[in-house]
Amino acid sequence: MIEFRNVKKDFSGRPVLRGFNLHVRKGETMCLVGTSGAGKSVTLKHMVRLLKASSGEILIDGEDIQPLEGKALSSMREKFGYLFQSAALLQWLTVYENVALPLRERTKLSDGEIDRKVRHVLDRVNMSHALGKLPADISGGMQKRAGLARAVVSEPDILLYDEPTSGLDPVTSRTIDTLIHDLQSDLGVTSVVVTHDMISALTISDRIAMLHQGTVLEVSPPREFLASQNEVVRDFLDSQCISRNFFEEFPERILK
Amino acid sequence: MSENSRKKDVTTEIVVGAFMFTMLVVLLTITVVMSQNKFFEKSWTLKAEFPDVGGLKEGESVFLRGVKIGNVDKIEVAEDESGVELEMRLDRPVTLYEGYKLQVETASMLGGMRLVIDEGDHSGPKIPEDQLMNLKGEPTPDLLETANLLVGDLREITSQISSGKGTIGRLIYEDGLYAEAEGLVKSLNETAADLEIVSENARLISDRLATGKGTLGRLLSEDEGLFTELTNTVANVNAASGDIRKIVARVEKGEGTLGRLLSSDDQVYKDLSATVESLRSFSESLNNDEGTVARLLSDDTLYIKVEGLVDEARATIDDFRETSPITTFSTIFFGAF
Amino acid sequence: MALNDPYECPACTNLFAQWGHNTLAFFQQVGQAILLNSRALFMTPLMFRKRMRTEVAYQLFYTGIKSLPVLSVVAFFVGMIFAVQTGIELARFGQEVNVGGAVTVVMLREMGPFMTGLIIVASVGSSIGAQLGTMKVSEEISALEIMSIDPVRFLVMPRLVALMVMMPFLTLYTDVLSIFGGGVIATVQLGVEPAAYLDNALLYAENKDLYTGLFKALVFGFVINMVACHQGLTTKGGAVGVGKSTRSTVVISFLVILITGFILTKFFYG
Repeated sequence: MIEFRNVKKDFSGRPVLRGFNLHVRKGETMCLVGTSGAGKSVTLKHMVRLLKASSGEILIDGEDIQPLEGKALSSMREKFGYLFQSAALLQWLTVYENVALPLRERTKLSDGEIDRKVRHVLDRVNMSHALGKLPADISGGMQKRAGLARAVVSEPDILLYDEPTSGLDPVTSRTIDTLIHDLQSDLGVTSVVVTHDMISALTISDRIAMLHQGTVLEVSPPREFLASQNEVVRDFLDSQCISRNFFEEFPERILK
Repeated sequence: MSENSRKKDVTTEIVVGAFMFTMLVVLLTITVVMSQNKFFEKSWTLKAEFPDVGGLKEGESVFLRGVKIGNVDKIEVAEDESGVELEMRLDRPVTLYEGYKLQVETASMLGGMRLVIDEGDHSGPKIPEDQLMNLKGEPTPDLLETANLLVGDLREITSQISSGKGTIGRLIYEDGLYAEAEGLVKSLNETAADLEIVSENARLISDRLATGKGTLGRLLSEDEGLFTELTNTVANVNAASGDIRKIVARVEKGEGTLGRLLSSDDQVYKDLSATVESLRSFSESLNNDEGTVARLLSDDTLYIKVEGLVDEARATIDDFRETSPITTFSTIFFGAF
Repeated sequence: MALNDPYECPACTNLFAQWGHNTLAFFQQVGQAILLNSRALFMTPLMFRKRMRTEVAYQLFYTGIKSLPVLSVVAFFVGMIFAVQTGIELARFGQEVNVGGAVTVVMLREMGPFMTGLIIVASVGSSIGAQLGTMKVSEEISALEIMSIDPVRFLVMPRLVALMVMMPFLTLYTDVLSIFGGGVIATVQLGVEPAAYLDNALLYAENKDLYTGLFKALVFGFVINMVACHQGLTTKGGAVGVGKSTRSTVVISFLVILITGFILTKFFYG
């Protein structure tokens, strides 16, 4: 579905991705974890061509997206839903208008259809009560949920999450995790989640990729990831007090 | 979309629409007013050829007897560069007569030009209609040049006055003449006083004559003795007159000072009499306090006034000199836009 | 990306090479700004689309109606100040009556569009720069791009339309109010009859003055939007970056307005 082939990227001569290889399979949820500056967000931005690789190929459904321009780029991007770290809602539009925006701008749906879809999606993320509020008037968690609603309203094939739980309290974070998990199982989309919250990564993902200094250090399912002997991975897990028995110790009710 | 925001959208649209509509109406109004109702009113066209238009621009006003009657519509240098073809659009028809004048003038102190129509002598023959498209304009006087000449002349005059040249200058700056004139008047006054005494004496004499007193009185009264004396005297006089005749003969021959004075030519006599004549009329008018000079001499307030006048003249010239940069400034200022 | 990354000056020690690269970077910025607004200009027909109309109407409202209060005060006082100043000088020659012509001609030709331009730069231009800058740093622009919503059509075009439509109207508004302000001074202080003031104004003012002024305002509208949108969309570096682009929006717009104003005056009045 998404494939990075020896992708290199540098900013003003400073390398960020150095020979990056990654394959995200259709329908799975892949978490990208790593320390700050490991290249997680940059990887995500390459997938939607917000950034252009210095060299290498990025294939989406087998098509190299590097040379795309104009209409082809637009239709490639239509496959994606993207939840930004800051939610990136348009501040002068209400929650309802923000979620309706992609449909209004991109599709030829009637107002009634748009209204039905928007209300449905907002209901899914438990935001029905805040339709008419402006982003500035609601909390960070609600903004993230509204952003999530906007990302899924156009029914994308791939959902990209850039640090969905950062800046949120642990309880709200788990709510977001649950939402991501539910959407995944309901819609059957391919998801890529960038996070450094290991609890999120372990609970929602099918596979976890550890990024370190612009390369992929290890890609494995959560349980194997926990058992990894790689020093960098161990340091990363230990620094968040994640024990090897995480799945045995973590209370199930928090997840579901 | 929530009902509230939809309502807000509608309000926004209404306010924007109202503002733009209002401003469009204002724009239309201003346009019509500034084009002086050109859209709706009939207009008459005149064409003229000028040797030059002195900077007159399209759109500037055309005046007839001080009333604005139209605008300059088009200015083009003639194809053969023999002059400037000018077209004007007037609000009313104008009848021109032989001797008409089309003159470009400065519109105001601040510059700007206008075209002034002098329709000519009404008793003269009319200019035919077909000629109205082929009129002749007057050459344009250059205002600045004229003003410069005027300033130059004024400066010359005042500098002469300042340096005491010329009559006015000398009158103002040399008090010798004043003193002389004062002396003259004084002595004239004394003369007049003397004359009074003389006439008084004459009155006394005639009184005495009437009463037969004194020699003449006695002569006039019936006194034989005196008659004989008189006869003798006459005889003496006769003798004396012989002498006189001799003297006169000498004079006639041009001998002696007096003779030379009177005989050789009458130039000196004429000069003398002319001098006397002018002196007489001069002193007459002086006595009558006539004329500026007389008043200048008899009344020193006038002297002060003249002095004040010269000061004012100088101030005026200073003002003029100050004015020129302001005129320049305003020209530049308005030229800038 | 709505806009390419800024031209990167290669690290070089040669001073002249550095200057050369800086010049290239400057040209890139200018070209980018012009192309950005030209694209927006070509997209203006899209404003009649049903879903753009609301946004365009809001921008017209925000640019036009919201500027009226400050413009009213500025215009009225500029007219009065100009009348007082010219009145003093003209009164020395007993030419007070010409104050009408002086105020009207100057306002229509130059001060009207210029003052309106400056006010709109300071209020609307800076607001556009700050808003787009904030959107850039908080990834809202990226969000639009991923939603396949062209920021040029969605953000730049409505603002361009609003500025280019509203600037002439606002200038006309300024003209009218400042001539009125001048009239108040002429009547109250200089003792010129209102009718004489208006007559004199109409004697000197021509439609050409009015329309060249309005045309200038139109160009200023384009220029303000060009600078503000470009500065906003090229913002980098958080709140500080937003501050910088707001500042440079105002500064650059001022300069460009002055220079284009001069060029247009030169063009129309030689």
